[in-house]
Amino acid sequence: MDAPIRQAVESADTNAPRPPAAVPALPGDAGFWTFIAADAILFALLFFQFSLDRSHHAQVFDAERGELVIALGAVNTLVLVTSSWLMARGVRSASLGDIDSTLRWITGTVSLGGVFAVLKITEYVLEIRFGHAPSTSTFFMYYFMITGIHLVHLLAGVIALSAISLRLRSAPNYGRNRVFLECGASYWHLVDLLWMFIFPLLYLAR
Amino acid sequence: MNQTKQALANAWIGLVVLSILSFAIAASSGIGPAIETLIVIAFAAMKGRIILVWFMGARSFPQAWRVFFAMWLLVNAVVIVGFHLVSPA
Repeated sequence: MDAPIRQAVESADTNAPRPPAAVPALPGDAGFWTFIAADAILFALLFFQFSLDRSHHAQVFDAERGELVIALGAVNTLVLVTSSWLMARGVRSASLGDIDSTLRWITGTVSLGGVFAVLKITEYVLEIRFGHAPSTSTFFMYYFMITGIHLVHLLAGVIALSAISLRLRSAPNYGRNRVFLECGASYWHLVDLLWMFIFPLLYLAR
Repeated sequence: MNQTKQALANAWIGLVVLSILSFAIAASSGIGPAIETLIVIAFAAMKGRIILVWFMGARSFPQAWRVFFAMWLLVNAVVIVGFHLVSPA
């Protein structure tokens, strides 16, 4: 290659515009993540307080833990991780412009959220029939409080995702709904993330 | 937050497998409560990491947020296991 040509090629290579590097960013609205972080910290404090109290009364806590219906909690774990996967698929479909598929994935997510709520309420009814109420003991106070706060979060997520679904139906456009969708999805994944610690802490660890 | 279909499916399979292993380990009584707790909480942290990275897209978060969530997982796991290990049998 002649020197002028080689020089021109090298110059072209070094001066060519580079594709923009991915800029670190939070999905959805950055302010919403302050709420997610605050929620995560709240649950971390509950896990800490439960573990501290259990360390003083380990035998009592373990005996009462044995009264829980582990099978329902286990099924709910599988239900929740599956709903989170469906939600992630929904966000992916939306980013590809396939709003119809997104609506189907969100419907699946919301449905599994409903299944989780029904199973959790069934579990509460069974525990109360077994004679276990929030006032029965410290363990059951924690059980109803931690799972109850989590259930409220889950129901809020179901309502939020249903609202986002309605919004997508009325304006099937990813660009206009991206922030809502990503905030809703992030919140739903947080609900799943919290359950990943709640289930082993209350039902399995001894 | 926008992973490939295969990556999302793999993440879901990982979550299901770790969950089933946790149930199985908790149901078995041969390994002792301390080891059992250590394993199920370690699995919980691993599942949390899968959700953060593959479903929430944590790899594209600003560094401070990546550190926050990594510490959140670590502190929860250490606190739960630590208190379980120091409590009398």
